[in-house]
Amino acid sequence: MAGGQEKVLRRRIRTVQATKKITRAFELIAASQIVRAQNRLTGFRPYLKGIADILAEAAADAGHTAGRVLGVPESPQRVLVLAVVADRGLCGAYNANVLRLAERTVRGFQADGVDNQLVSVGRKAQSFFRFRRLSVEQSFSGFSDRPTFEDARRVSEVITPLFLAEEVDQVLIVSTRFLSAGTQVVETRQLLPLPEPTGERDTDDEPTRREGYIEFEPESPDLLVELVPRYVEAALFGALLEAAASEHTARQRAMAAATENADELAKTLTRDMNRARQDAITTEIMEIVGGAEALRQAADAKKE
Amino acid sequence: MATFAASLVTPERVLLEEEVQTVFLRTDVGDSAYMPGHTPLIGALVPGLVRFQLEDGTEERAAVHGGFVQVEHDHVTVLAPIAERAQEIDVGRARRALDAATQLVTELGGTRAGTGDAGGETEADRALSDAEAAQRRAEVRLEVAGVIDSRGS
Repeated sequence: MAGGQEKVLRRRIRTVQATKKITRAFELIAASQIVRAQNRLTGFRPYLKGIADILAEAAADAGHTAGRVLGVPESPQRVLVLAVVADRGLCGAYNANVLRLAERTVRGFQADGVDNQLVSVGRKAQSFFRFRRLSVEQSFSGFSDRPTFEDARRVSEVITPLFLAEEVDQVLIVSTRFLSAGTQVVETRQLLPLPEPTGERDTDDEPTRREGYIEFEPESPDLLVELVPRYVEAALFGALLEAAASEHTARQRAMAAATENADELAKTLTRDMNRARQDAITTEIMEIVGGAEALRQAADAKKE
Repeated sequence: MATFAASLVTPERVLLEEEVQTVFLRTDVGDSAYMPGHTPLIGALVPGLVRFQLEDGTEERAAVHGGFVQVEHDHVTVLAPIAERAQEIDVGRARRALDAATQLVTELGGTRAGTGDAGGETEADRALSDAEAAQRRAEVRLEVAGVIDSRGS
């Protein structure tokens, strides 16, 4: 066998080490992207807070004229589900977690006979839903790792008009929330109607008046009409940013694990290779000794 | 002179955060100026120029493309999906964008007039409104950068 196995092992070690270099590179890239994504998230918070404040004031002022734009619909008949995942894989269970929850949500609606449609963000969603035979109304991709406000706007321009035209009663978003560097949670949230502004519980008959008078230009119901699309695109941008940060975190973690695994594998293979080489050497020595012994015995036999 | 806090906030970052004497801008209702102690107000902005008069009397100019303003007794917050400060505007680029958009609007407008209005949002309608929006944005940028007066708008 003379070193045949040794050669095979040597080649495998080289492959593992090359792979390790790649996973290490991915890990480092992801790590730098996390920081960037987190900064963008922090930079965005003041805008979202400002829009949410205005929304709360306008909604309180408009009271029940706000109508179906606010609150939680009791029995939505037509629901739109928006799933947000990544364009690329190599990020552990990140995509699978979101997609599985989205699928479960949609199947739940199907079982209840609720009319539903699916919109997806991220290339990974397309193949998943095609394989599961769930039709996707519209899909977006190409910006999951670095979404811009313009991207959020494009998605929102597809969704918001459907709601405003009363073609859907509720819009749910399934995505990963970035709570902290260590914690990301997959979650279904309601995007439309808008969440009830905090502190405003009873909108039934008398809207609770906030102390102090606020002027509205234009009047609050009209303002609300302009505000809704702006709020949705802002909320959506926030969700995209959180998803991007989570994606990079998941990728970094997955690639760190892969690098470690490659290390481990290389170590095991090196040990196997050394043993194989040792075996080969031992066998060779045995053959030489055996041969020499045979020759000597043959010579001895001749002498006699 | 009394001052109060003003900020210009976009989705990407807080563009400006200063103590100001007065903020000039235009809402749906018309041109307005806000000074410290103004009645609380929430307004929708019209794309255009926002001027912040700083403590020392100098002015910060910015272009906003839609958005909202929230005025409280002690602060003003301008929220804009897209905004840039006057000194950050690339005049050459805005000029080119304006020319391109204007040409596109004429082309699309021409073809659309030919087919007649079928009602409902078609692909062409969308392209046209996009081009018109781009045209308006470029105009606002040039106006804020202070170069459009000669051309008129």
